[in-house]
Amino acid sequence: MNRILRAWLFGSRPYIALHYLFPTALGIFIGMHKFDRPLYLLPSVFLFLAIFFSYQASIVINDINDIKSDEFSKRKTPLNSGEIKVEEYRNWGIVFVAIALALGLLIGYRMFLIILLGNVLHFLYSSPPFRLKRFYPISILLISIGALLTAIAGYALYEPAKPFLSFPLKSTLFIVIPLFFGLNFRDLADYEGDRKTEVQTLFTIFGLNKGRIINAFLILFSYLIVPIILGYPLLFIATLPLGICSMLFCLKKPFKEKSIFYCYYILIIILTIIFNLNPEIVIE
Amino acid sequence: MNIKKAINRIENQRYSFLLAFLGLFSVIFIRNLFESAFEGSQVFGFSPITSRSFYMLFVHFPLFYISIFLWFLLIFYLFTKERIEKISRVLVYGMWFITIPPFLDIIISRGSGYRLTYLKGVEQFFEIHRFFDITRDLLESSWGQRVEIFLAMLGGAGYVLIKTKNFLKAISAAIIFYLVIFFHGALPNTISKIPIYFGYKEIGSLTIISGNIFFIDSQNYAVIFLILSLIAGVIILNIISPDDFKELSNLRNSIIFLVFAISGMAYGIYQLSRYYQYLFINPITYFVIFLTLFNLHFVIQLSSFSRPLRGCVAMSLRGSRREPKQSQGRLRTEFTIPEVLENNEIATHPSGARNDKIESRHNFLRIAILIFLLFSGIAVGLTFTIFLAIFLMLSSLVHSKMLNSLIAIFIGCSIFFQNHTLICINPFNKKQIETYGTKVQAWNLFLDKKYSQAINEYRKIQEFNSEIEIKKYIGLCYLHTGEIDSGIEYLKSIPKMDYEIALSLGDAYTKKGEFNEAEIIYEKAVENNIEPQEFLIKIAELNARLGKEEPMLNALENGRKFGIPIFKYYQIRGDFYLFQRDLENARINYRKSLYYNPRAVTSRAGLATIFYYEGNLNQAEKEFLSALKFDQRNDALYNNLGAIYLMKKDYAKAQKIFERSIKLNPSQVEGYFNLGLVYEKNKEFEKARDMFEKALRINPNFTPAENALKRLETNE
Repeated sequence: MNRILRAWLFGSRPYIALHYLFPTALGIFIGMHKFDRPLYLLPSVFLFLAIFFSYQASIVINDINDIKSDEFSKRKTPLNSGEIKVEEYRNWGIVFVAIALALGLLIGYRMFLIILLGNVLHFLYSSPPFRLKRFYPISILLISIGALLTAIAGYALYEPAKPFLSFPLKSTLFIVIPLFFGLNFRDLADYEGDRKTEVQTLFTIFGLNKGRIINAFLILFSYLIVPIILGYPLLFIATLPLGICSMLFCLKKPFKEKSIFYCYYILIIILTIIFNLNPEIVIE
Repeated sequence: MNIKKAINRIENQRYSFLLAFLGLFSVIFIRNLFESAFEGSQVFGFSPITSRSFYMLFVHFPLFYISIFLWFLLIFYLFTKERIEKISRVLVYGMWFITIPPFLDIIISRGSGYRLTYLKGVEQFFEIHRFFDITRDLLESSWGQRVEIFLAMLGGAGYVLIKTKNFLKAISAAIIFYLVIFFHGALPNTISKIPIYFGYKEIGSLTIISGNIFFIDSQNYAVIFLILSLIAGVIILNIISPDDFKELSNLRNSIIFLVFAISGMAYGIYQLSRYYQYLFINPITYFVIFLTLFNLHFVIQLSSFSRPLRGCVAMSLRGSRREPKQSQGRLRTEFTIPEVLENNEIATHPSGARNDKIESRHNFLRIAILIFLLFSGIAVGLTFTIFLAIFLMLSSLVHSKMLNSLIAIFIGCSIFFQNHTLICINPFNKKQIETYGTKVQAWNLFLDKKYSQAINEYRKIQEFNSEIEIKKYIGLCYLHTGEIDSGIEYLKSIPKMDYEIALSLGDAYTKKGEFNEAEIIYEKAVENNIEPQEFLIKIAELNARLGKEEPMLNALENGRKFGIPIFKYYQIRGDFYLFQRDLENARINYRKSLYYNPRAVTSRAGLATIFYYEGNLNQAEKEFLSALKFDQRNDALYNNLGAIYLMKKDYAKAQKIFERSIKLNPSQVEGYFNLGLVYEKNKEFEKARDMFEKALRINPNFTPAENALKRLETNE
């Protein structure tokens, strides 16, 4: 059991898991302010857990389907480090999906549907027959949509009847556009594996060096677009230095994913403060 | 050339059958979920009633597409003679076409979404051109659907052309693809009308497809699509592996259990038909029986794969791939290796698991059968599924013919008694059998709009069954028969408000003219988060009608937060101005509403009413007719149109229109009153009196009818 737990924690990629929980919190925040309702504590906790387990399941699907690629890229996963067998790992994936769906169902039937949709998107992204991660930029768009979906899930705690249509457009753009441009750096560490297994990424299309430069500018752009989408120019004070830092981290060798995540989290903290002071910025 | 390469690449991809199915199901799920989220008049998940929504999303609609997928596969094979598994891989990719309509429609409709429904049945076979008629905006056929069908035909024809290089074949294939789609849309309602064609006039088609032994209409649709899928699946199996087909159709192992299941069914039929009179008239009954027997046969065949099945169970328990023990099962039969799987299509996985050929062939058949059983189980009901699972476990693990025979009886019985099977299987439990049978009968009468008879049936069982559901339906029946006070009394006595109760109670109070009470009900629903969007619209409509501008605007603004469609927002504002006789503002709002949704029936009717008030009867008639194009079952529209003909002194037309309105909604006052006016004009005073009296029976406070009666008496 310890071995499995260790393997699980080892593979949980806490940084990206957190990245999925932020939009959920944003969705809940929008719901609370738009409908002037209190925080639904228990459902919110269930939702965070459901999304966390959903994400764990997506890691399992991804790792199983990327064994070869991860070996080429020398990426450590519980599978290629020999911590766990494929069948065992797959069973854990099934358990994670089941927990996520059960938690969704505890909140309500419609939340169950949203959680299921999230899992379906993960499956289509990673697994055959479609394995959409092979096609750039569909892959990156799907990741951004996944983040949007978690935000909508948070929002659906307050508006379950038409959450997709009533979710504010500004918030949709605020989530999808920066992530779409800014998340390419995730593929940098997997370059070798992606190249050998014919997975299209920014780096396999343009080559490693050109790709790095393009990615650096895209990540800067993703920071700069945030104040424009929100219509809050004061935010440039934060996004400009953070964007430049992220850009430089992308160009730095050896590449360290963590540094970019730190910039991202600093922005999240700043945004959290601003949104709490002035919720209208993010709600139409 | 590139397309050819891409097709070749897709054809030669390797993945397991289960992954292919999951991929297909995922695409179907995405289409349906977004259709439910974007489609006009729908809520997320299709229905506010969870059980209905579940059946629509997870059985009914998926089976529709799976059946289309299988038939397309078959047609592709017949035209190209390419290997089935290769075609299926391309087709799985091609199924992404089905995700187009929800997204395209929400864009074209400027955020309103279109309302898509089934083809109504055989009479719409004459509208076979409907999806191609771009000269008019046809009812229930959206641009998304048109593009989807066109792309399906184009893609299908393209594939046939690439494979055969024969234009004639490609065009023929495209036409057949279209027919497959069209017939899948029209078939369920056509089947449901078979008894009417055979002369059972007393049965409404609605009952047959939405009622019978199931309580959710989607179950009936699912059964029909399951049978269609089964037929296609069996033909495909015969093509790819005749030996397996032969083995699978061998009844020697299952015949004895089928006989026991049939005896269970006979008992169920005997008991239920004493109370539910339409059992044998309804074609769905025969389909369910047929499906049940197939399920049982498949379970027996599945249990004959005892080695891999045990392996599967053992593997999931141990989490490793150790070789399971050899089965001692008496039902054991071996399938021979299908040629097609022997060649190269063995399930492979990046994990490197090496299945041998036999196991992979078993895997394919086992998973296919399990998927079929899973869908059947959900479609037919939980009790049926549980008995089927018990049967499967017993036949794989215990091998007791006696026990299995007993369970087969339960399986046969369960399709008629559903979750009351364990109680109703006991023939001495007469009261319970009567209760269940009467409930089924009452439910079908309710669906068939025979509300008075339904009340009688429900009342019979109410004495010894105090289920809330029965109270609810008695209340709803009373509301439909016009006995509003009794209906309200019943519905109010139910402690927990649900969607149907809130909707019906609110409407009842509105009908009674107790608008404050109605508003309280709607507000409660909003408070409890029961479809707040819909009930905020109700509150806004109510206030618009009462001329209260501020509460109306508040409800509308609040509703906008919950995502009420923008066309509805303008329509209600238009209604408000119309009630105020501010025709210019009403016109502006209705036009805005129609800009966002040209099919907004109420807005078009509102516009027609403005023309009517302005004395422009021809334009009013045109707008009403246009509105009717989009909602042919709207009794109020017929009433208004009839009123125009009445004004134009075209009494024959007016009479026809009012009769149609009454047929659509027999519990309305306006239709009877208007028809009474026509008879009065035609000097048929007896008939006129009869109509006015009918209107008063429904609503004793309806003053225009009272006045009309007085007028008749004075004239006499």
